[in-house]
Amino acid sequence: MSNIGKEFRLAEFFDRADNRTIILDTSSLASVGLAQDMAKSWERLDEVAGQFDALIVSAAQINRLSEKFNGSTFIARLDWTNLFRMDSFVLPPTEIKHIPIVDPDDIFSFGATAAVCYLLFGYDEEIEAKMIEYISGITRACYKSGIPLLVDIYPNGPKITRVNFDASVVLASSMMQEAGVDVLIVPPISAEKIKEMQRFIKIPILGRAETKKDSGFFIDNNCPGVCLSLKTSIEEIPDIRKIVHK
Amino acid sequence: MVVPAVGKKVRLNRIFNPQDQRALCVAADHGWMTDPTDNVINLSSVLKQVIAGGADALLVSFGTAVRYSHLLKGRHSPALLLRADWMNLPRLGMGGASDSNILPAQKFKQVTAAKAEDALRLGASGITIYYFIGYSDEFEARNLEDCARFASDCRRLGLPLIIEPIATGAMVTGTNATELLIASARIAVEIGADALKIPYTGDVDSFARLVKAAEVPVLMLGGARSETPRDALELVEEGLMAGAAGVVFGRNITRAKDPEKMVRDISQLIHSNKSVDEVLKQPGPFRLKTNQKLCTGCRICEMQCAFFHNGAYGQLLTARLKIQSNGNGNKIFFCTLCKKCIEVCEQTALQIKPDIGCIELDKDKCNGCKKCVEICPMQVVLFSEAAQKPLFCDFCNGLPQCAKWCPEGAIKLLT
Repeated sequence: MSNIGKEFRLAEFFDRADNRTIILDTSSLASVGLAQDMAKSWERLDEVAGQFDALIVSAAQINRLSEKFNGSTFIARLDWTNLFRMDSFVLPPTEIKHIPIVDPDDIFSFGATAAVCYLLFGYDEEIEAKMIEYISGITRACYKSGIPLLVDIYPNGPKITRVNFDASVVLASSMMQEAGVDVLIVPPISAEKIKEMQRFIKIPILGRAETKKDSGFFIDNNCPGVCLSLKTSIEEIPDIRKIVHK
Repeated sequence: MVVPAVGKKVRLNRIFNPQDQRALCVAADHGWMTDPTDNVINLSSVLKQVIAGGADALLVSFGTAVRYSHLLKGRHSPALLLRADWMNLPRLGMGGASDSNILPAQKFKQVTAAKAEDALRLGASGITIYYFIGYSDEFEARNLEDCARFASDCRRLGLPLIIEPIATGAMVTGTNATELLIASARIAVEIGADALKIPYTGDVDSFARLVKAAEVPVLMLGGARSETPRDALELVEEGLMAGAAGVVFGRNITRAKDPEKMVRDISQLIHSNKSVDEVLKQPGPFRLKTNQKLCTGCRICEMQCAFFHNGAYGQLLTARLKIQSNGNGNKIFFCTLCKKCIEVCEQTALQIKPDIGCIELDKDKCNGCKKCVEICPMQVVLFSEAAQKPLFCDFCNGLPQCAKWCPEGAIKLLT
């Protein structure tokens, strides 16, 4: 990599001792509110404040969380989607939507260290093309500003089947590497596919984990960290930290 | 405006060799739009080989340009061409590519993915964008709007714009495909292309018409991987015959067994005006390597060398290598290509023969001064009194008899 700004900022949330990271994503609250399965974790977040290397937050959360997580590294969520309303939201969406909500140029004024956006994959060509156009734009803006860009891959579209799920993650990751993103967050896929990806994806691949078991799986397969959500039980977080930073 | 025009000229000269106005560009942007095939998975190694082969320019995505910028530094590195858009044609099953099966697409989409300023900031010498004709009128109009925007930006910045016209879609038939390509070539130029990257029309005559219509340098693209290297080279040869200024080859190079050799071979067609037959017959360049310890002093090498050059055995003094035996063992004296003879020749009659790698004499220039004979540290440059010209080891035209016949393996041929 030939971008000093990015290198410095990536080093802020990849532990220098082991080059690994543990991230908590709280930004989905902007899509589903404080859903029941997240409320408990949210209330007890203070207990585990020191366990994370970085937090993925919406721009508005930074103000509120900066006291609780004093000194933490914040990764600003640049976009919004109603994708997470599919499961148990009070008003399930009829159509998947994705919109930009923060301009990458505003990242510094929020005090964030990096930016993150979604890649919704496996949807119709219109959505996919818009996603590619959107991420390409952010990639270039982040390159100019020296801001690391993480992309959170969600292969959830109607084209995704059990058979092509893993391969779709590999395809999406390859495309994102070519787009110029700096870190990938991928859902659990087979160990074989992770190895296949690691052969040619030369940027860090973090696993999206919810449990100790998921986290162990990614770390055992040489992923340099995990990204947890508020669905992760607070009790498990210290153990997950031990798994990540052995 | 003078300055941007100069900028374009300077940057075009980085892509096209100023000596012959031709270019061999390698497209390595497949991972951006198709499944991660072996050329995508081994991109780092492929790029290194392509650069070693002497490609004039590399076409890559934004991410690849950033990640591999270290490979593109330096005066003799290939020029960087940035792919400024993205499309899903290979996944649509219409582009002739059969490698994209993970997630097929039903609707054709193309979006811009970089701006001319981004390319300039990365140090690129040009950008490449698609122009699709034949899918739908709306699609083409929107696509041309993008092309025009790029053309305007590139004019302002002095950055060469390479447009890649592709005839694809329901409106393209066997009968109109060639004419569509020829028309699209000119349309792209009218919109503002400084050069074209375009598929071969299938025959020399029609491609020559396309080249003539374009009036800017035309780089022929390789399309799907050819069945054999010869097929790929013949494609290049035909394109050049039709007046193409070179090629932008992707899979034919990046998925070749030996990408470096493929680049070298294509480069000889483009820059050395060689034919496919000449390129493929070429066995060299060679070097001889000896292991003195293995030499038994049998002198079969001298015999075979003399026989090859004189047609008779027994004239060992006319052999172009020598075996010297004494109490300490046997020593093989042979042409090590030290080039002292070339340096000493005031008539510049000597040079390295590029295809085989041996010393080559230009008999018309040679005045028979014997300086080359005298300076040879191995004493293996002979002199023909009859012809009044020196005789050099010629590697037996690519099959050195000494290496072929040495029973101990003391002389080996390296390619």
